[in-house]
This record gives sequence, C-alpha cells and structure tokens, in this order.
Amino acid sequence: MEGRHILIADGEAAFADILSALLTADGATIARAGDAAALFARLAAGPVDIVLLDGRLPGGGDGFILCEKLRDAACCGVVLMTPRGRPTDREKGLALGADAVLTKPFSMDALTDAIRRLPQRGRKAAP
Amino acid sequence: MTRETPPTEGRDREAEANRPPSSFDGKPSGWEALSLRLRVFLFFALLMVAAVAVMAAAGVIVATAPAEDRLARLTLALAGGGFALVGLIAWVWLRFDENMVQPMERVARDIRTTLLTGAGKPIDGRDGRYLGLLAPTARAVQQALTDRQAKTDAAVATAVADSARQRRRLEAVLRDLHQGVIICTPLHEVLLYNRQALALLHDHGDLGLGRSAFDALAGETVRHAVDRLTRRLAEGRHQTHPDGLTLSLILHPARGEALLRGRIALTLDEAEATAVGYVVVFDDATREIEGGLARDRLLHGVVEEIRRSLATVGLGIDLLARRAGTAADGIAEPLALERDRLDAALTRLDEAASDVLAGAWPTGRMDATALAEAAAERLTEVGGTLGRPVAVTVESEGFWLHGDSASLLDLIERVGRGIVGGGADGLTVQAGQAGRRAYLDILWRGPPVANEALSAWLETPIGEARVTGRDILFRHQTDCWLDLARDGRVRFRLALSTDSQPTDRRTGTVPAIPARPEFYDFDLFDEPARHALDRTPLAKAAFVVFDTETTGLEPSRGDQLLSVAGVRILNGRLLRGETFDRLVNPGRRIPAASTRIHGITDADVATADPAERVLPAFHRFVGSAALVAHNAAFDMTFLTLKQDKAGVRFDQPVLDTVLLAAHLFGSHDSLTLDALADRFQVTIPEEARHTALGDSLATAEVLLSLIRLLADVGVHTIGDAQKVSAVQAGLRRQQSRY
Repeated sequence: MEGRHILIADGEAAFADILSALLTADGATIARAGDAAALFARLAAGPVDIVLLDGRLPGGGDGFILCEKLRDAACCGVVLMTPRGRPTDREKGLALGADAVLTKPFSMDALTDAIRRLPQRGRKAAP
Repeated sequence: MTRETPPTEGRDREAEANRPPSSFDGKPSGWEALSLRLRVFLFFALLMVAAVAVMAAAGVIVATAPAEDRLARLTLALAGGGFALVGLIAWVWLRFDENMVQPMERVARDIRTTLLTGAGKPIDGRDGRYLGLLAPTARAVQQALTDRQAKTDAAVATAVADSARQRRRLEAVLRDLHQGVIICTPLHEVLLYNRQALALLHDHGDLGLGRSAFDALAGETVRHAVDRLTRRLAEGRHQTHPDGLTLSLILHPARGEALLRGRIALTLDEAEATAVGYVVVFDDATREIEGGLARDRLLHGVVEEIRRSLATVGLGIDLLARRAGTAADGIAEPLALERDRLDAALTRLDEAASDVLAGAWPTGRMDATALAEAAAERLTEVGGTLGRPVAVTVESEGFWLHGDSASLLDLIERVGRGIVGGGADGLTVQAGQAGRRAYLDILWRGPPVANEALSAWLETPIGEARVTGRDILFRHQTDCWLDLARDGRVRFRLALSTDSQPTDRRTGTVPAIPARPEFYDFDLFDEPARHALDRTPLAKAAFVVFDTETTGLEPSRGDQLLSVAGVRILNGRLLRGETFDRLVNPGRRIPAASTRIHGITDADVATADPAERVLPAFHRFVGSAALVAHNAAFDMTFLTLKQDKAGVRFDQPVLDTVLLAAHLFGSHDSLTLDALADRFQVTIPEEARHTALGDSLATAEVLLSLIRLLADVGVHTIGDAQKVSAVQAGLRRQQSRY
C-alpha cells in the first residue's frame, strides 16, 4: 500500500472519508472524486495507480461502463465496489476491465488483499 | 332420425304385407302349398304332355286317314297341333311372367330399396304367392334390415344426444370459468371463446368465430409460442418435456396495456401426430405482475441502500478500532461480527431473491438449443429487414434453461439490430453452461463495440408491449455485456440460469403424462346417488388397478412392501394422468434376487417413506373405488399387512384379473399378465415391466378388455364379477388340492 496513488471514486462522502482515512493510515496517497466528471478530471491531472470505483458513481450511470472506459484508457488498476450481490455483477465487472470486484460491504482486509494482488502498473488482458 | 311407413296401395295389401311369412306361419294352401321346384316342373311337364298329346293326336289322325288323304291330314294335324302348342306355350309364359318373373323383380326392387334407404316398401304378400320360400325369406330379410336400421338410428340418436349434452356441459363449464379461453386453428382462426375472454380482452367486437385471433390478441407472443410447441412436437421433445405440449406465457390484448398471464397448449389429431389447433387459457395478471415487479425493484433498491450504509458502518468500525486501539477491545470485534452477520444475511437474500423475485414474471423451462436456433432465426430476420444479409451458425450444448423465451428473443432482436447494423455479417450463436450459470453468446469478427452502445440499445423499447431490454433483463434477474472472447472475436454475452428438473427414477426421463384429455368425464354429472358398489355396472364403475413390488414372496418370513402403484379407471376409461406411484422403505435389506426382478435397490428406498405413511396416501387415492390387481390375493396380503399400523382399512371390493380371465378362458389357458397382455395386444414397454406402475397400467388395459368380454357372458356388475370370481377361486382351491 505504501506509496500507492489511489483515487477513491464514490459519491458517498462518509464512506469515502472513512476509506480515505484507513488507506492514508496504511501509507497510500489518496485522491477523491465524487462523480464521473471529477474522476476523469483527476485522471487527466496526473497519474494514479488504482481507482476504487463505486458501482453507481453519480454522473457515470452504470459503473460497468466507467470500468470499460478506464480499461480502454489503460491508465490504472480498477477495483469495482458494487452494492449488488448478484454473481453476474462480479462476472460482468471482470469482463469489462475491473481487476477486482468487491461487493459492499467489505472488510478493510478484503480491500487490502485485492489491492495487493493488483499489478503495479499496466493492465491485464480482458478474459 | 324418424322414419315413416311408406304408403301402400291398400289396407288389404298392407295387412298382407305385414302378415308373417307363410312358410314361417305354417299355413300354405292349395297351389301355394307346392314347392317352387315342383310348380316349375309341373309347368314344363304340362308342356311336355301337351307336345306328346299333339304328336299322338297327329299320329292317330294320320293313321286313321285313307292313304290318299294322309298328306292333307298330316298337314292339318301338324298345323292344328302346332297352333295349340304355341297357344299353350304362350299361356305358360304369361303365367310364368305374371306369377314368377314380375314378383321376383318386385321383391328384388323392394329389398334393394330397403337396403339403400333403410325404408323400403314392405314386400307385398301376394307377390310371393308362387315363389315358394323366396317371398317370406325376403320379407324376413327386409324386416331384419329394418330392425337393424332402427337400432342403428336409435344408437345414433343416443350418441348425438350424448354429444350434445357433453357440448352443453362444456359450454357451461367454459362460461363459468374465471379464465378466458380461446381455441384456434393452426391458422389462428378462432374456433371457440368464452365470455370471460371477451371481458379480459376488453373486447370491442374484435373477437369473433372464424376471425383471426390476432384481431384481439397481440400476435407475436402467440405465434412464437405456437412455433415453439410445433417444433417441440416435430422433434418429439414433448414426450420428455415436463410441460409436454404446453407453454406458459404473458399475453397482451391487441389494444390496451393489460398483462394477461396464460398457458397455451397444442391440440393434436386422433393419431396424436399433427397439431389441429391450440388452446389459450388466460387471466388478467396486470396488477399482480406490475405489483410484483414494483416489489422487486423496491427490494433491490432497499438491499442496495443497506449494502451501501453497511459498507460505511463496516469500514467505520475498522477505523474506530484502529484509532481507539486497546480502548476498543471487546467492542470493535463484536461490531465487526455483527457487520459480517448482516453481510451474510444480505448475501442469502440476494441468492434467494434471484430465484424468488424472478417469479414475478412467469418463466419456464427452455431447451438451450431450441433457444439458440430461434435466436439465430431472429438474427437472420433482422439482417433481412436491415438489408444486410447475415450468415448465422449455431453451436449449442443440450441442456435446460430457465426463462421467458419470447421476451429473451425480443432482447436478442434488439441487440441484433445494433450488431448487424454495425456491420457484422458472420455471426455465431452459442449456448453453453458452466455450473448453474448458462450463457447465450453471439460472436463475430470485427472491431470491438463499447458497452455504452449496448446500454443505449437496451434502453430502446421493444415489441408490442413497449418494454425495454433492461426490463427484460430485470425480469430475469440477469445481465448482459459485450467483451472479447479468447479467440479475439467480439462477444455479446447474455447470462442465464440453468434449470434442473427431477427426472424419473427408472427411465431417466421425465414421466410422460398422456396428452389425451382424460381429465374430464361429464358423465359424472349424471351419476345418481352412489349405488351399492356391487350393483354398479363394470362399464361405469371406478376402479383403482394396482400392483405392488416386494422384497420377496413370503410376508410370513418378513418380506415387506417396496413399492405400490395404481391407476384409475372411470366409466370404462383408463385415466393415465391419475396415477399413484410411491416407493416404500421396507426397513430391511432388499435381497439381490428381488432387485434383479424389479430393479429397486436399497439406495432407491433409503429416503422413501415407510409403509405406515405410504398406505394412508394410497388409501386416499383409492377412495371409494374398487381395487383390482392381477393375482390380487398376493398384493392384498402386502397391502393389508401394515394397514392397522397405518390406521387405514382396505375394505373396498376387490377384483382379480386372473379369476375374471379364468371365468372367460378356463384355467387351462395361461393367465399370466404377459399372456393376457399378449392376447389383448396390450404392449408393456420393457422398462416398465415389473415396475408397479407399468404392471398396473398393463393390468388396467387387460381389465378393460375383460369387462367387454364379460358383458357377453352376462357378467355386468361388480357383484356379478365377484360371484364368478368366487366360483373360480373355489375351483382353483379344489384343483390345488389334487
């Protein structure tokens, strides 16, 4: 986690605050985006290692579409945080470019584990 | 049919005609008393005598004449004799013509008329005076023909009245049904509809006999369903399909927004090979379905909200635990556990929801290959309408899917428009499965398509009901997306659920229920207060024909019931749809020798109920019907072995097909079930032989044949049958002593 640039893209301010505090404590550098426009603006402003992407980011519609755009931009690793527990969500998320899919709620351990498994940079091929 | 007596020429002739044939009443007189042959002989004898007399007279005349007059006398004698002979022959011919030829012609004509019309003129008694037995015999034949015709007419009249009564009852039943019913020809012309159909379709004169059903019902869904069922029939899949030749579907009226939940069934011809039409039964489910979908949306929304909040709370607990350090000991951990419990509960809810919530929209079992083929057809049609012909190939595994195929194909069509419109021209439709997940994929070579485009396609309303692709995905609790397959082809993937239905334990196929409509019998309406069963005619009685499989042949040595099955017969009809078939846990090991006969193993009965629980269920199935079995004494022994423990009493009348057959054929013939089945041409499928249900069905068919034959020997009621059975049982007991 140490030294990683992580962008939290989630419209829930309280959730983003807490997640930010936890990740900062673990040594990551945190940026935040409350909607889709802010997400792309932040990505344009400078490199990011990982985006923690909410499944329904305001202004971004379906989180899966954003996932695909981020994959096509090949800029960063993506962890999709979906608030739905259907098995197809995980499958679709991975197919559309997420490196990991976590269903809310998840523990900090699960998130840390997912981030640790991500490649440092670059993208893996779509399944 | 009524018939009138044809007019006759006079009362005396009619009286004469109706008089019993003279040869049968034994009162001929005079000339008529002579036989026809003798009379004809006498005519010809007269001619011979006359000829001899003429020649003799001529001889005398010539002999007694002086020598010089002989030539003149001879000439005169021959001329005179010749004239006399000719006159006599003419007289004989006239009598012959008047008394024999003409009456024969009239008799022949009258018989022929009777034969052709069933109502010929009665043969005139005077016509046959000189014809010996011909006229009375002809009258007897005519009478027999007339009687037979009258019987046939009466039978036809009864059958017509019967059929009219059944039709009126069917009409009454249809009229009082809460469901709408429409029966159509394969060309979708309406043959029958009921009042409720009019009400449900809010009909404004669109629905009418002989008119297209699609004047009143939105056609796409019905057409698709009929196509699916017709294909199922053609490929013989209906025999193993749990729904046979029926499908559940959601219909829409041709006008209006109502949602009608219905079921469609193909009706087949007598040979059960060709569809001669279909029946749609439906009711209004608008509020129910829309309410169900709204409930689904609400529940999903609430679960999402809870998941979001719980995510914040959960991470908050992690953060507080870290910040508070040891101060949070004993608090953070239980809170984290509570979060995990809630998370697990939500996961269970999600899992259950994907099964339960999908129930708001009626779905059914689909053959994956059939769906893939229908999807390929739909894509080809899309290519046609867009002016971009596409080649579509199908690759499919054989398995069952769960869903509403009509709306899924609408979804495929909408997506297909996007794919083909984007330039793809060689498509492959694949249906495959991985565990409980199944996929319907469309693959093609070309540049990748963004899911944003797919998202736009899914928002466009489709078809008659103006639903969107998203609605259809939501109803199926599933999703679809575009990605790249391993081989680099672009892939549209629709995730679906597989369907696993329990299969029959022996054949591995789903038990087939006959398609024939044995599930009604309007004659039951006519049934008076129940007779004492023994006075009930065999042809009208209710029977349960049953068979048991056991661990062995000796209950006294601990052999037990393993399986009991039965089938009902009512009013002479075998109701193949009303069967009982249960395994029984015998509470002991099954000897291998016995398993070899019936195929039932210890594993088969491990989870079965014991006899104490199966027998009451069978007792309820039998109800007040008479019990019938082949070698009933054996089966009754096992049936009654535990009846006290089970708290029931099998005290119904019992008939035995062995004893009934013995009454008809004697004991020297083989009376095994196989022999009787062979005699009555009853086929027992090999896999069904020595299964309780298979043998029950065969015995039931044998019983129906026996009942028909027993009627010919005066055994008409259950009581009669019991009496002759008792005699046969007595005989067999005596024989067994020697």
